[in-house]
Amino acid sequence: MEEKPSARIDFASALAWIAAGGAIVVASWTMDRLERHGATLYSAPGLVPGLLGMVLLALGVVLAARALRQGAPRGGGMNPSLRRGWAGTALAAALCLAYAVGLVGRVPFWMATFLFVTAFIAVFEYPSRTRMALAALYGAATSLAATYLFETVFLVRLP
Amino acid sequence: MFEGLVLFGKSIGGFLNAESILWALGASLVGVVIGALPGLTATMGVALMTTLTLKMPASQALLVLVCTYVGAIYGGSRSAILLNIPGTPASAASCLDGYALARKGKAGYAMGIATTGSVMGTLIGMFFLALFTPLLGNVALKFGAYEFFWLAAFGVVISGNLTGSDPLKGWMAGFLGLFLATIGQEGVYAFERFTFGSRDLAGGLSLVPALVGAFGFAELLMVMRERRPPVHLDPVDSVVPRLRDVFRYWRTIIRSGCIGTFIGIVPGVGEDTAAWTSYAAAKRASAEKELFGKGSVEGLMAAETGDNACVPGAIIPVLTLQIPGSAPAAVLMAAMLIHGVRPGPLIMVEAPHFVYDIITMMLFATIGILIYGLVLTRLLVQVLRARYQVIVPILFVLCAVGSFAIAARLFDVWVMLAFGILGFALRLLNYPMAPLVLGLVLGDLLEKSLRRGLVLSDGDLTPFFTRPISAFLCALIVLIVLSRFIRWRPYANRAV
Repeated sequence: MEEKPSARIDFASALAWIAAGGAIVVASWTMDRLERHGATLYSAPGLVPGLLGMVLLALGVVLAARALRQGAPRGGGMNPSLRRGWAGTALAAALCLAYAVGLVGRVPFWMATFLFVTAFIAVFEYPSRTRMALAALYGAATSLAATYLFETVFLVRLP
Repeated sequence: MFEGLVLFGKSIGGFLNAESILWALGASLVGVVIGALPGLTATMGVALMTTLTLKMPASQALLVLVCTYVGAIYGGSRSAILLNIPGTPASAASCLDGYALARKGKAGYAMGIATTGSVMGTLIGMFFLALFTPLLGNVALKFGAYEFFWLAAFGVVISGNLTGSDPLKGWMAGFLGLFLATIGQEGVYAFERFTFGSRDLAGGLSLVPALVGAFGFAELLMVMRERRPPVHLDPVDSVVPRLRDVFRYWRTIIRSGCIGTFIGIVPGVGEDTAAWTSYAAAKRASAEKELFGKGSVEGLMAAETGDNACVPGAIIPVLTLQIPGSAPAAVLMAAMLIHGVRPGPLIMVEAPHFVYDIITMMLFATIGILIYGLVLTRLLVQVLRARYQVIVPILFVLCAVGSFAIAARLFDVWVMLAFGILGFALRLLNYPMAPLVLGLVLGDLLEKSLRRGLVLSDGDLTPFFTRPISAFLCALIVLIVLSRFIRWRPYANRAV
């Protein structure tokens, strides 16, 4: 079943779109027009982003108006379906960020991958001890396979 | 015509070697597995494989990507039939009758029908790819800056209109994509826009890491959010397709193949719309309407033929106009550019053999899915039992390394992460991803065309509205937008 955000959430996101669209328009308007290089209004660097900012601003206003017609900002709130699953998602995102930002490029790739895959599986398989024990095996296999495949088969440079 | 056949024959000859066949079979299998796993889409598969095939020769790399694309669209039917969960959005229509057949103990039969439909759909699409690419290529030669500007805008508007359930949000995602494409140095004066002093941003946002983030990392987060319990599957009956069904439903197959191909040609719409439209058309024309949704073989055949016919269809505008017909085709187009292949209006003049190379790749992919449909059903059933806790970190490693591999810089990994988080948030808020991707891909074309057109006309806007093709595209955009604005009122009233 499709999850649709409530009018209230749509209204909040419309305000974000309006703010972003407005900021893009202002930044484009104040952007250097390079007239000293012979640029005209229609070849100025800010023309296209400015127009796109205006479209985003206008669409944000339409979304806000629609949300208001549907009862925002009072009614609604977060749909129950949107509330679930946050803990798992946040944990998964945190582990992925820790790998991509904290480990990759700082420690050898094979070690970073082993640590990440092992930790990820172990955390999400908790409390099954057997599956947690298998996590290190999966981690080692992934680390070896990825290093070999990328470097030897696909000739890709590793971080 | 004979020239085309000669080129096709040469192309087949060129790919008939052990290495190409192994790559084609391997990539089709990867595609089928990715497609079969709910939550992982064809776009993600093609994006990940793009990063893995960077160092391969262009023809081999594109063979791998085309086979992954076709395999993933086909693979989605496995979980649709066995679990009532579409493996990819393209297979959503197959759930209706595929799962109903499975509940009647005919899961194997349903998978055989899906295989037949997919193979027939791809073959019909290939026929139209060979037929229409030269024709559309000739039309495209008449396109100038004004027409390309409207075509890019049309792609974003029609994609926003037809993908997802809310056109307004589709357009917002599309225009956001167009804006994000303007980040970095612009094309005329190399002036840096929205870079905030970052040297990495000055080069713009790399397309492939952005796509890997929006479709890879974002999808993995969605999968972790939904964490489905392990599945229990009943044994399946024979999966061998019956020729009798092809003859019995030949009208449905041809109709769905045509619909799928033509929807594929429309910029940015994609396989899910093709499947639903083919399904609806088959239901309207069927003598057994009452069976639809309750295990109709014709319904399943229509949906599977339609979505697979859309794949070659979506590649037609890539080859002739450099405008992708679907989200995976957008990634495929980006891969072509990375490998130095420049599709566009001159393709039939400069490299007509390339069109037939793509058709040959499709043929290899079709053979691959036919083989896997017949012999690997039980293995694919095992794949559906795989635990997401194990698959997700492995796929994320591919996302990270793949993004890094494009230019060997960590900044691209951060772009992937940023687009993943943005994509996840937008999905939660019901914004479709296909228009965002199309906007990213078409942003450069839209900007260049607008500025070039204005320079050519010395700032005069008239040619944008008076040249025949421009006027037609502009009118289409206005009609699409107006039709949706008129429709919103009753929706809004009902929702209150």
